[in-house]
Amino acid sequence: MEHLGERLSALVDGELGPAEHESALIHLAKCEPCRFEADMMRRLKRRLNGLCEPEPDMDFMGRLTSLSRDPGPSGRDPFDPPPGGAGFGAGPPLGSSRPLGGLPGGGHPATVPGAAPAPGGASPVQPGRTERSDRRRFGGDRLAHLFPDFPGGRYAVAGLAVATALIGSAFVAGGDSEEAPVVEPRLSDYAFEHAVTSRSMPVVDPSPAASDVPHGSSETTR
Amino acid sequence: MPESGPAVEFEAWEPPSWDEVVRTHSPRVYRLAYRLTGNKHDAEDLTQEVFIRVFRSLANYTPGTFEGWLHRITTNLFLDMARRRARIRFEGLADNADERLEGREPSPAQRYDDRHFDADIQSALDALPAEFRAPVVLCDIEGLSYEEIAATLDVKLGTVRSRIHRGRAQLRRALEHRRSLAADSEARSGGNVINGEAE
Repeated sequence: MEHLGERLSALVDGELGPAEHESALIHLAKCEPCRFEADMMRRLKRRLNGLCEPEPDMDFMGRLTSLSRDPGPSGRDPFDPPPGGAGFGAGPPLGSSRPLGGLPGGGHPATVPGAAPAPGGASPVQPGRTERSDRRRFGGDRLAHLFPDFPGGRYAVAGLAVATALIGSAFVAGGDSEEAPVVEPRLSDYAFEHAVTSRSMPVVDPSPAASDVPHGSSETTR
Repeated sequence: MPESGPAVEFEAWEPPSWDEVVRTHSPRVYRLAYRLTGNKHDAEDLTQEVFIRVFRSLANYTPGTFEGWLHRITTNLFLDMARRRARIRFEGLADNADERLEGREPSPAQRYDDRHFDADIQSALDALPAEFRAPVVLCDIEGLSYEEIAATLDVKLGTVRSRIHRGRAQLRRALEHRRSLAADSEARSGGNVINGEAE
């Protein structure tokens, strides 16, 4: 008798299809070792699930909150890469050398806000074509003209001396260049994908319709 | 220190205020980051990296999809970090001294309090390779479905299933190992007391 193996995990997680579920239960009824395994696995799952939830401490929350306010004319810009580095993607691994994030806002020694964009930042806004239109929608018309592809955008923004503009678009214009593209899906891409995965949006899937039509027509011709 | 002025203006044109976003999502992100990285220091770093990206993408904020996206970038950033660490370790450039300083191993004094169990399972989690740890954490702690995990990690459903299964098997082995170690050291310290009395 073949044991359940991986199907045991799927069973415990409620991830088996109806037929497989049924046959897995039948197997469990007859198989003591698998019952034991299933029991252990449920226990482990419960234990993992019951881990107490670590809370971010108030200091840290404050630091996150201040991410939006830091880049004042005299303050330090937490989004600026450390001098010579290119942000998270190219820096040393977390915790390997310097106390990353250990010093609120001051972890990066004296970064000059609005200083030269990151070395690779020739085309700051390149990755997010669809996103830019969204930004326009939310960002207000006032800022919209600052987003098109021109590298001086950051300086133009700074020139406006509008604190809001500085905060909102300095990163938009100058920040993208330091991202490692492997790391994140764009939120706009993700939104669509999520809708598909969670089936909250009707997927324009040609296959059911396509298979319906020939099916129906073959019925009528028969 | 910045005045409140800019923040107020900032809130005026952005649908959710930054404070709101931080308040709503940071505990969740932090919790996931903590379970993935296994310590406060790295969890804070990871969370901060996530929120830097959140800040940049704030214009695309949509309540329904945001949570899943956060899972995804948190996990991806973590895996990226883990890979880079592994590479650096392989190249012999970094010592992991500061990792030891994080106190991943529970101190003997903690052995019998409640947090001991947490620390035990967390260090078992830490011992898992990142590729197995992430799906187990997403499944058992975050409660995501296999399909959601597959999307998050960008792997096939079958891969999720086998990684979860193998990850759990390794976890169990690690926990059993720790349990027997604890029993051993307990027995040994008991023995020492007896020896001490004998002397």
